[in-house]
Amino acid sequence: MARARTERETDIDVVFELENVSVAFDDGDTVVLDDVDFSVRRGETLGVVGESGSGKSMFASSLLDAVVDPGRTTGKVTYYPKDDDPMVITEMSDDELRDVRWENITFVVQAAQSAFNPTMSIKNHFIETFNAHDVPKREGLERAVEVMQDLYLNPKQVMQSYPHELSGGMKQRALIALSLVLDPEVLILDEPTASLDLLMQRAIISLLEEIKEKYELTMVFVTHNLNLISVIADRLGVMYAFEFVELGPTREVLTNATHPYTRALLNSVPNLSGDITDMAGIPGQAPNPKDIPSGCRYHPRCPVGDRTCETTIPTFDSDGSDHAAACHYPERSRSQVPLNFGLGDQ
Amino acid sequence: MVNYYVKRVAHAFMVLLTTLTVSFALFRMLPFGPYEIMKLQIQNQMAQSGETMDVQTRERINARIEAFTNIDPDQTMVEAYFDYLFNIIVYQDFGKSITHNEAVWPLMLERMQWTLFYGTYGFALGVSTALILGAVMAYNEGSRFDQVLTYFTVTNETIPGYIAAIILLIVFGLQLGWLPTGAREAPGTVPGLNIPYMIGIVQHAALISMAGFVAGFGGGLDYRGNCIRELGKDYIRVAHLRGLSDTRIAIRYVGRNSLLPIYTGLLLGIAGLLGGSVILEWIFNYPAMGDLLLKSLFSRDYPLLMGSLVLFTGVTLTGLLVADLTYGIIDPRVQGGAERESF
Repeated sequence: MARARTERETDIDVVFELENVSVAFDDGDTVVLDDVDFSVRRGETLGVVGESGSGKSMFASSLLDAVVDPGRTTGKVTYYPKDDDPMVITEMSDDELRDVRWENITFVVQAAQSAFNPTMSIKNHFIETFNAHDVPKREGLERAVEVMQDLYLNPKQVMQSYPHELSGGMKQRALIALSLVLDPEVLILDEPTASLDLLMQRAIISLLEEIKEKYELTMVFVTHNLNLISVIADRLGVMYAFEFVELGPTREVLTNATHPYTRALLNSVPNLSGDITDMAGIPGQAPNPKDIPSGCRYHPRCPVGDRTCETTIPTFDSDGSDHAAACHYPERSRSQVPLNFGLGDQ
Repeated sequence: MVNYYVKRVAHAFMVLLTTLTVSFALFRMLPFGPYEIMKLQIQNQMAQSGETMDVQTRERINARIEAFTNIDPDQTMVEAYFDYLFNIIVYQDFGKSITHNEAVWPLMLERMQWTLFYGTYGFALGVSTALILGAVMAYNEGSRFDQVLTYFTVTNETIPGYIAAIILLIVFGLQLGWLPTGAREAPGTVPGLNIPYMIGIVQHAALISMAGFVAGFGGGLDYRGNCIRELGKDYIRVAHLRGLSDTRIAIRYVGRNSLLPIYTGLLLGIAGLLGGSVILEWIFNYPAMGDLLLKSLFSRDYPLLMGSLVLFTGVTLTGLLVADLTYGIIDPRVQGGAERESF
């Protein structure tokens, strides 16, 4: 997965630059994010999709060097603040990281339902966050009220509540409010809609869209829910077996996917325009991080591949546009794995 | 909610009354009353000094004992019981100790100071050390430190407190001779705010405090487990991501929330301290509350025995009541403790 030049060098305004970033457990035996080069552009909403255990969360965590112990992040993650000097996240001390976290970059974790300390009121969560970042309490609370109102929460009532007194959707929104209260530049969301019902998922997504406009955020949105992400993301990255296999503008990836995995993934998602009987899972299993196939990691499950795929690692190529994929046979993939929905004709 | 508090307090009173009634009956049914015991003592004394007992002396002694013990032999147990209750409720009078010839309550309070003196130091130090070590062990789970301390704590919990006390007594009191093995204060010192006296009481309380310290150590392992569970919770990770300091997370998040499951146990430990005082004070020959209770049992000093019992039960019940009524404050998920009872 090597790319000729980084996006920063091509004058694209970048927020995050990842170079050779890997995450490993067990002293390097279990690699759950493998040598990723990537950049996140300022102001975009980047969607990262993939099946469970494909390394999505690890990618998100590595942006803040916040991989859970005993995982270790290697490589270089550089953060380019809007009006400040670049910071190398992977080389920062704990104290420096503490300052950047939540002030510049916030992370809404997967487990929003248990993200609050059960013995503390919501208000105290806000106040302790202000204290940790030297924000005057009054000013901070004023902003908190504003953000909460934008998220259709009743600030007075929610502030007084303890976490267990809020519903799932309220907790999720309270966490988003908490994550926006210090006016961050980047919002990383790891499955922000997990464990919410469908209506609430939609509501959260449209809220995020509004919020993004208002607060000029860059969002990195990690999910396995393709339907949701396609609504909100500007660019879509598809992960398989701990690396990116395809990346491009959302519509381009959805309608004209190159990688056979992406195409199979799209076919496995229920949609309104296609026939339900055409919906198909992907045969086989995702590889174990301790036993990764040689060559192209998708080859054991790929209907397109041949001998080359078993031995040679495909490069992450684009046809000159913004759309890139790591496959030896992009043409064959498109013809041999037909999409089962008619989005392209619309 | 108010209803719950009322119910809970009424409940405690019922338990107190029941304990009082049952023990009153049991004490009265013990073989030999205060009368016989005292007579035996006097006879022994006379036999030792070579005096013989003629009829006149015997009658004189009987009369004296009757005046002394203040117990009417003609009264039935039920009558005595209602008399006792009546005096408590109407006059707040728990009677006069037979052996000490003093009102029960001031006598107990005087002794209680000493029990609280060594007990607070021993127990409070033991528990807080155990909690701190438990937390440090949790933070270093699986390390050498954790393994050694787990081993040590398990050993300590396996050995009964009184055995540990006797070992302490033998090692520090008798073998090494560093600390006195009995009494509360150094001989020849004047009670008050003077250095020799204060050094004396500290030295005399040292061994028994150490024994209390060892006994209070058990909670460490539970706390370690709670902390480890708490450390794995999602909100701890979020707190780190929010940029909170490690100290804040350790104290306000991990430390505090790990206390919740052992909170009631800790408050009951204060009651356990009193129970333990009986055997500890006997081992260390330390005349305080536990010693008073034990001696009153030997001499069948009914009023003192009952008074001690009311005191011990009262302290235990208060501990439980406080735990129950305050649990809702420290854990907002439990609303005033309505859904939770510790017994």
